[in-house]
Amino acid sequence: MDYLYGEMSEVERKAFEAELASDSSLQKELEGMRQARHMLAELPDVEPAARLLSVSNEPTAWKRWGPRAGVAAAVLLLLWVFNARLEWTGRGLIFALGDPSASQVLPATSKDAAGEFASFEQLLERREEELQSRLLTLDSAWQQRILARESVLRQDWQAYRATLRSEQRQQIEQWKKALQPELIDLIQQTQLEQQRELRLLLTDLYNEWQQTRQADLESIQKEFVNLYRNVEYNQQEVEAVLDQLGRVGD
Amino acid sequence: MKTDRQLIIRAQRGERRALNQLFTEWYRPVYNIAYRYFSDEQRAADVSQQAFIVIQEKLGQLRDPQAFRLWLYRTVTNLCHTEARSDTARRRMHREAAENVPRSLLVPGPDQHYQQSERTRLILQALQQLPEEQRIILIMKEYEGLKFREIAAVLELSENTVKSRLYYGLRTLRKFFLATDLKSEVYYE
Repeated sequence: MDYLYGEMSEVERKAFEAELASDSSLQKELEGMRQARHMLAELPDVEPAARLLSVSNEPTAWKRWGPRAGVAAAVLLLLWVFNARLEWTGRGLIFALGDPSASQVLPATSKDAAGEFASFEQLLERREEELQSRLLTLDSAWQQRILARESVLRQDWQAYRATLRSEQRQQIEQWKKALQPELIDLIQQTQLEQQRELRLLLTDLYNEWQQTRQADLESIQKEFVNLYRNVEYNQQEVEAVLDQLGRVGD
Repeated sequence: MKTDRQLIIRAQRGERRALNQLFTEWYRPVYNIAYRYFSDEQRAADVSQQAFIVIQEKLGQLRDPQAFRLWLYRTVTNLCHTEARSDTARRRMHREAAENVPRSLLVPGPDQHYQQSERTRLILQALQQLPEEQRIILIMKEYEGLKFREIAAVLELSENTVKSRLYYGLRTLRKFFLATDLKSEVYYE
């Protein structure tokens, strides 16, 4: 195989070729191998249709969708386990779980069943009308009861407010009656006290004024006495001087 | 095909542009390996995309950037084997490989069109005759040009085992081609 693919060293190749020259069966086998290789070489490279892969920073699709696919598979499995199904009944879609044989299915092709279905529909309509009528009656009765109750409540509330106001007024009057004498007495006492204090204050002022006046009068009297003495002294002095002068003139 | 070491390192760091460049370079080779393995475009595309998802997720674990090429071949090989063993794959294996000649191999031209597609179909069918362990070695050797020691490293086998399996694979193909009277273009000239 090394010779066939050119992987022999020079020495090995020469030795092998020497052996090959004398071995026809080996030559035949080698030729067969070469022919097979020629055939294989005819198979060209294939050009891929498209390179679908490219790298992005985002996680791979499997990582992104794997958990979601798992949840979806679990939901589908649960729906299958509980025998979930969708049914079209002619009036709409029904989503149902459980044993389908347990559900009542109306045979659409049966004439009797169609009649029964029609009468059942009429019955349903009648029941619906009755129910609506009863509902309206109930509704009206309840509305009346509610209005009556509301009126009673309003009256009660007004009466309560009136009573409360009356009690408040009485209480205020009582407080006035109880507190008025005390208040008058307090005012009188305050007035008397103020008068007494004022009188004392005036008396003190008068006394002080009198003392000051007396002291001033005494002081003025003293000054006048001194003044008089001075005048008298001065007069004596003048007379003495005049006497001396008269004597001198004589 | 050699891939720039710096490109691998940048891709390992998670650079989007480097990863996309890596994918662009290697998408076609990977796709062709898978296509020759399965003879099925859809499964080839699936495996290719899986391979690049693995690359995106596990490239950081590759210690030696220079080992990227062989690491990628190992990844693709494992994915091919896994896909072949899946239930879907088992169902598809019963199909005729002939039905899966890719559109891109259909060469325009009224006379050669049928011959070309027929030869392609037979070669693909011949590859499908081989056991998986021989087929993947043959693909890596014939179409990817790996050395025996590289294939041995990818598949974690001894070189002798690789050579032995390749020998038996080629011998089976030769018999198949003789039985279908399919001869190389060389003999028509």
